[in-house]
Amino acid sequence: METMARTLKRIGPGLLAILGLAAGALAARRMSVPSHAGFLVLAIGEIALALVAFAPREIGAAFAQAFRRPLRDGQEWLARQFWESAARNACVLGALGAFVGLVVLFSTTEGLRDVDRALGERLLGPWLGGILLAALLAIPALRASTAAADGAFVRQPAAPPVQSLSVGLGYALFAAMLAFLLLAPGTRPGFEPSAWLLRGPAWLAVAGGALAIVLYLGDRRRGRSATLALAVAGLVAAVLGLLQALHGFALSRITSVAAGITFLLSACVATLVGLGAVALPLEDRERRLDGAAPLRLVWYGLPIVTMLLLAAAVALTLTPMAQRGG
Amino acid sequence: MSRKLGRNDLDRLLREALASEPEAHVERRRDDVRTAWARARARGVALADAAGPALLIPVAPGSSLLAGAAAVMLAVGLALQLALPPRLVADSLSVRQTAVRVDAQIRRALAMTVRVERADERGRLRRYRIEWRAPGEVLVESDGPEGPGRHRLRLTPAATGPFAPAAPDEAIDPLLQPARDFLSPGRVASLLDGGWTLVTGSGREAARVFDVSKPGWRAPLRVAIDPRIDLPVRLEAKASASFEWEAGATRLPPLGEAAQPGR
Repeated sequence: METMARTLKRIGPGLLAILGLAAGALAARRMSVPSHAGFLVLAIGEIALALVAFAPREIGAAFAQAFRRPLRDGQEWLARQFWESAARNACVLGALGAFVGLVVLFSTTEGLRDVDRALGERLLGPWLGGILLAALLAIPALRASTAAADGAFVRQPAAPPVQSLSVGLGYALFAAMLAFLLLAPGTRPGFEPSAWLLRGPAWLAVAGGALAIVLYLGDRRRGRSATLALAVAGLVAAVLGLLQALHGFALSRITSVAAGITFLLSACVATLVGLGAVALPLEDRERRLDGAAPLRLVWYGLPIVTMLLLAAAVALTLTPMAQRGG
Repeated sequence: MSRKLGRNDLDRLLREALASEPEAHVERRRDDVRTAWARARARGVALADAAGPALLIPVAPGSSLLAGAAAVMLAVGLALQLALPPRLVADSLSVRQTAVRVDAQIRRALAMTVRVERADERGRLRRYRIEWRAPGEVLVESDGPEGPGRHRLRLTPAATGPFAPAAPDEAIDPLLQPARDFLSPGRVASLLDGGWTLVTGSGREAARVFDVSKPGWRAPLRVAIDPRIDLPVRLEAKASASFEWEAGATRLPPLGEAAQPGR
């Protein structure tokens, strides 16, 4: 009985995530994707990732710290980590929302109808929303601490107990949201978001590259290794995609441009999803903030770099290509 | 090569390693190891030799499998990327590229002549011949149930940019209202500023036919594009229109005169 309970606790989050994935895929078949899908990623993603990394009790304590007087000791430390984690997640999810928003736009319209306004709303909107949200969420993390009895301001708590239900719910929510948005049917073949964002070769290259780097770093279970590995593998893959697209553009070869752009977009999305689903929750669960300064470059810099790559993809899509030959 | 441990050495090592374990469990482990060694001796080979090269890999258990998986994923990913271009995405990108090129070409045009036919509510046909010359001089000749007409207009080009105010709709003679979408290239571009769908045609030689749709339209606009010049040559909806374009000319004929061949 005890073994069964332990097994259920271990595989429970995975089962819930699979159920969420299936529910999202079913919903995608029956409901149309909202035009402001990018903001949906930001809002639902924030809740999901908070549940994945923090127990509901810890989330409650963090809100208490933000809206009442500053807390003490381990709770204070935890609240700071929660708010910094939420701010960081907002940056990553804002960028992910921009990718989803762009592809939902491309998968529902052809030609140029309202493309300038729609790009502003669906691409820049979620990204700027993410940055704004990150700035707001970072404020409680900077709130002054109250000194403990021994004079220490911030004390690191022990690693938290595993809350399999909240972790499972968080993963289920995240998986359902991604499945709903990425598996939505397009208006015609070639217009499904999955054709742009779930290109198999790009996901394989990012996963394989990240795994190789994690093995090289030699610390498989640490979130920091996963974060660094995903960032490096994802950026290398995205730049390879950009190079292929530019090469196709120079030769006016539409298949190369399409292959390069889908590789670039899929690599960026694989990186951001990998960060959200694997690396960042692992980091949060380690309950460590010491030595995180270099990683902050990845947390806040990577979404900006992916947005620059996204802008390059948009420019390649909307710039008239010189016609040559047949 | 590997060195075989004696029974005393083995006991000492196990005692040290398993010092914290219960006695019965330690004894069971010892027995297992002794049995394994005894079997290996009976066959004349050491366990390390029998297990093969896998044991000689100087990394943590499982790493070799993961490293292999990573290498396979990378190789398969890159190979598939080069071998399988996304055809459907390429097709949709091609349609979008055509729309972008047509839009750019229309806005670059220096002169156009459009012949428009449109039926009124009672089914009576009215014909227009619109000549437009940059920077906005328009000559419209019409013929229909109300008789022929000739109008000369000057359309101010609409300001462009995100902060430009909406251009005021010029007061146009009611007779010209049915043809107002064809009075300038900018208006034609606005008409085509919708969602494009390829109907027929591919390659550079044959005209490619697209359906253009916008929210609120009951039926799409069918447009034939000449791929050699990336400009519309025919347009079918409630009205039908055929186009002649002039782009990049250095000297244009005065309004009302037909363009000379070769110009």
